[in-house]
Amino acid sequence: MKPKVAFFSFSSCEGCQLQALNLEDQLLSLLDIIEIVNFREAIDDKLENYDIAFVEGSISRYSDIPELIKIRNTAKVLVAFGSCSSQAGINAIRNRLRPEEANAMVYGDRAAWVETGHAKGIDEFVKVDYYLNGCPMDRREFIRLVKAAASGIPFIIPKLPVCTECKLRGNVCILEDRNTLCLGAVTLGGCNAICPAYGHPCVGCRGILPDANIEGMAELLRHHGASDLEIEHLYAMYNYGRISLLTARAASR
Amino acid sequence: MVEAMEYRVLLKKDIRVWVEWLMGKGELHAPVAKSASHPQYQFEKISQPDTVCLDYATTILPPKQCVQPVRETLIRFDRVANQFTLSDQVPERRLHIIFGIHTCDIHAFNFLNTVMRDGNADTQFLARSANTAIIGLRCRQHCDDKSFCESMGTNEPPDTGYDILMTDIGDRYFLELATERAAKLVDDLSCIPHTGDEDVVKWRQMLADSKKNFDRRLSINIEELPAYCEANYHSPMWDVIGKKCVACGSCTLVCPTCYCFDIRDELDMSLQGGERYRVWDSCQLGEFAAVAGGVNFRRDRRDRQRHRVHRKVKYPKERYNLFACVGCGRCSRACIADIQMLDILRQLGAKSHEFQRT
Ligand code: SF4
Ligand code: SF4
Ligand code: SF4
Ligand code: SF4
Ligand code: SF4
Repeated sequence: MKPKVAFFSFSSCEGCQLQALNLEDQLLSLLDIIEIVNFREAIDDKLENYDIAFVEGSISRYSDIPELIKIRNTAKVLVAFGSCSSQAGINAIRNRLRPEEANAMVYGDRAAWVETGHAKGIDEFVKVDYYLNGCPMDRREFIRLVKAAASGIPFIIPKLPVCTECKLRGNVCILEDRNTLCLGAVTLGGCNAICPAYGHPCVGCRGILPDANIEGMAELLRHHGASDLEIEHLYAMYNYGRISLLTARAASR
Repeated sequence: MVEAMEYRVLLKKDIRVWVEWLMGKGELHAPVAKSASHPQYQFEKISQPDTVCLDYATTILPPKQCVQPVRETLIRFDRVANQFTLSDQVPERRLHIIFGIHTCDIHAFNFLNTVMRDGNADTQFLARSANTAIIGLRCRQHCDDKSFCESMGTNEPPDTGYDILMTDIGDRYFLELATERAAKLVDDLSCIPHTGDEDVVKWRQMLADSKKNFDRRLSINIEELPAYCEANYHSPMWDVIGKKCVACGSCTLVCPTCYCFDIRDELDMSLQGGERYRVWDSCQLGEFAAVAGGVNFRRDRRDRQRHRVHRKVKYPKERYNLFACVGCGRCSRACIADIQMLDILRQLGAKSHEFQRT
């Protein structure tokens, strides 16, 4: 029997779901091996019974939590879908401020009307089986994961940095060549170094590698002309949650 | 110096004619310029003869990907029939020609061929290597401040491992034809005539002048490097390097003698079968030495860097009497943390002298 797949969305731009829809030609062959039962971007009918749940977005409201737990209890395989979900991603920029400060900044005198607070990755609340990192997530990885889950074999993302794929593509290194501040060395690869390949720096959207040399990276960025503030901003764009934890850990050593 | 079978010359203005003609003989890979801001080059499959750039400092990636592609299918498997088939052991492919490769990279190919023949021979690599023609270029000076080929003895060509060697002698290239295959690569092209006496004189002069251009950059006895590595096993220099290194893997991916790969599986969309393929890997990455059960033999960047250096100047010297470092300097150029091979080797030498004195 084809596994039933459902998509859910919390605080996000829903860009990752759109990315899945963008598969177009491959989407049809995917439907040969899975059945999609819940997909707000594409279908209206919903089923409350599914095997694989793709959860997009960060958790930023108390009311999100029971919903997330329900998904966890229903799905056999739960996937953090995109960087909002895997690491709180870009949403975590607001975590630098106290919740009420950020809310007042955005919603002004109507701040009390909206329930929203610090953004968190979903694994702060439930067990996550697989991560599809990236903003948006990578379509080839998505297909690989679906194939693995549908045939009951583990899905593995090699823990390689972006630099590896950048080098293998034969790119000119923009950090060396133009002092463009790039986080490729400490960021999980799998995107085929798409940003540096087109002359843009890696901003770490796929998340900082678990054993990354954060201090060494900061040191070499300084050598390439970065100020401490620039380094902080670079890390904070997608990895505020991770980095504040890491620096706290480093300080306690 | 080994005597060539035959000498020819080619006017620089005619290089395009030869390149175009060679493109008809096989798949031609040659250096092309990659960056406008400062000189960066890459070996690429040539489709436009004008893109070939022979006046190049070394390339970002070594020419090894012409022989060992980044990704290669090893077997196809069928989960339903429970069968697998090996992909072609001797791949049928068109003659490949690597054009304009520096002497250090020819040494590196010779090293790879030695390793691939050892023990369980890598037949696919060897088959591709055998049908790759090498048209080399003698260098006239170090590529830049990162190279130290002269110290490793690789600014001179090896005895074998190439078909043709070119030398820039002013308005023309002097060609040394070294193999039977070489004759077929120049054929009786009218733009590549036999040499006159004057050309030979000029060429010998050029070789003598080039020798003088290369300064000695590593003033240690390289034969002692395995012993220096041993003596410095616990040196604090590795801690310093380990702190700086961000484990990006570049230093090994750009090295012309590295050959490690990872093996992965990919299922077909039907889920019925799939392929097992290999892809280049790097010993500098955290997962490289991880094995089943969560054990990792080289968890520290310090240990991984030491391992890399030992893999270049200690182990292969002991096993094959060859260095796996040809002094091309690519690793130092690629390292965003400014870790320099030349510095490391100097430190190994210098610190060992200290050990000996005390
Ligand atoms: S990860 Fe990026 S693309 Fe995906 S939902 Fe979040 S913001 Fe949108
Ligand atoms: S451009 Fe960025 S990702 Fe590419 S090699 Fe340089 S630092 Fe690494
Ligand atoms: S290069 Fe960096 S920022 Fe760009 S997609 Fe990859 S991980 Fe994200
Ligand atoms: S170790 Fe560095 S200098 Fe030596 S051959 Fe490899 S890339 Fe070149
Ligand atoms: S290139 Fe430099 S930073 Fe990257 S792994 Fe090698 S030594 Fe470390």
